[in-house]
Amino acid sequence: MAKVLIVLSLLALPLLHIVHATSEQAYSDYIYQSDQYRNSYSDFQIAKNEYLKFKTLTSQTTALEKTKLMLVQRDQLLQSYLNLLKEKLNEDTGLGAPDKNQYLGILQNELTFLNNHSALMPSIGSLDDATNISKQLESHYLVLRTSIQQLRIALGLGAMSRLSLQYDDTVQKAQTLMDSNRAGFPIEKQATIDRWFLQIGNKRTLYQQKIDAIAAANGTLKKNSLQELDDTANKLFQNIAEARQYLSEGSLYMSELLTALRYID
Amino acid sequence: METLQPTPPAPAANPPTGGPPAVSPAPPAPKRDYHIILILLLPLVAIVGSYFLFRTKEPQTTVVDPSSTPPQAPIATQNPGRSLSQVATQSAYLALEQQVVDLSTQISQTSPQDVRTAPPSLILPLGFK
Repeated sequence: MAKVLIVLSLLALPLLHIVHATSEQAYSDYIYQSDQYRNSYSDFQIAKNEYLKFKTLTSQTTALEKTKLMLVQRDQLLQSYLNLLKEKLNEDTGLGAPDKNQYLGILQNELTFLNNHSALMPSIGSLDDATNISKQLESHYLVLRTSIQQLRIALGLGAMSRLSLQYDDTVQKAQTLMDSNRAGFPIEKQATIDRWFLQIGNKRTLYQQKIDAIAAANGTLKKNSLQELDDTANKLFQNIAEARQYLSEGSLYMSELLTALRYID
Repeated sequence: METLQPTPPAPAANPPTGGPPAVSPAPPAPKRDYHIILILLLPLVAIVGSYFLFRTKEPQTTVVDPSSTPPQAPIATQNPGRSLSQVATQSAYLALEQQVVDLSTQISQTSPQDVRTAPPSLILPLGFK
């Protein structure tokens, strides 16, 4: 039986690697698409300036060609970025299933929009067509960017959730240890240890309050401009850092608690 | 008739004489105020005195021969005055100690936002019109 378990464990090891490699692969693809986009945008700018300067048929043809390439590349870049977020979300172990499904749904909506938008590219026959199709993305971009920031904040909340689970598990083990050895400590020492537990619990409560507020704000992250959106997102990331600080302080209290448990008096 | 004898002219000034000069009474000597001198000297004495006083109180530094054996580093003690609890030797306690260390490390290493998921920077309008 033990041999079977060992063999199964060995077979499962590559699977763990694959899960991790998925987001790594998505990140590599995102970096590659970023480079491709930068190159195509540079070519597009040169062709556009040439056309606006000389207005010749040749420069117009070149400008149209480079614009189409840039628009295709732009959509591919955004798709690769959303795929990266999707893989990160799939790998996350901190978020609950309902939250994860909700964010995956948001992500899928944006990927569908980009797929439909990409499907329009072959129909571009003029610079006017290119401008109109580009405007479809421009008018949707605030919604897309909002979804992106929501997902990034959700990933941050997922990371914090993993820490809080570890925090709770540690406190639980310490409490069990104390409960089974309580009689071995004088009454005064028991009171001291209980106060440490109380302080550790208080930090956990403060953390949870902060996290709940961030999650609520993230759920209704609707802004009127990109700047306003990014400012709000940055503030929420700052709040996540503050929540993490509560856990950090709680873990310091745990060290004090262990010192208190070490000695009888 | 009596003849007039010419009288020698009177000396214009007295000639110097070999005897001691006449001593005129000396002016009264100025009275020295020793109190003022004492007041002036007192701070000086106090400064010099305090210098020697404090100099002697400075700790005597000893020059250690570098070739000699260096002093041993202080050995960390486990609060010798306190007695260890039964919990301290349990495996559960030792495991918990490690778990707290791991938790602290995890917390410090976890960033609120993953820099790898920074969104791309795009300029959307084409700018043909």
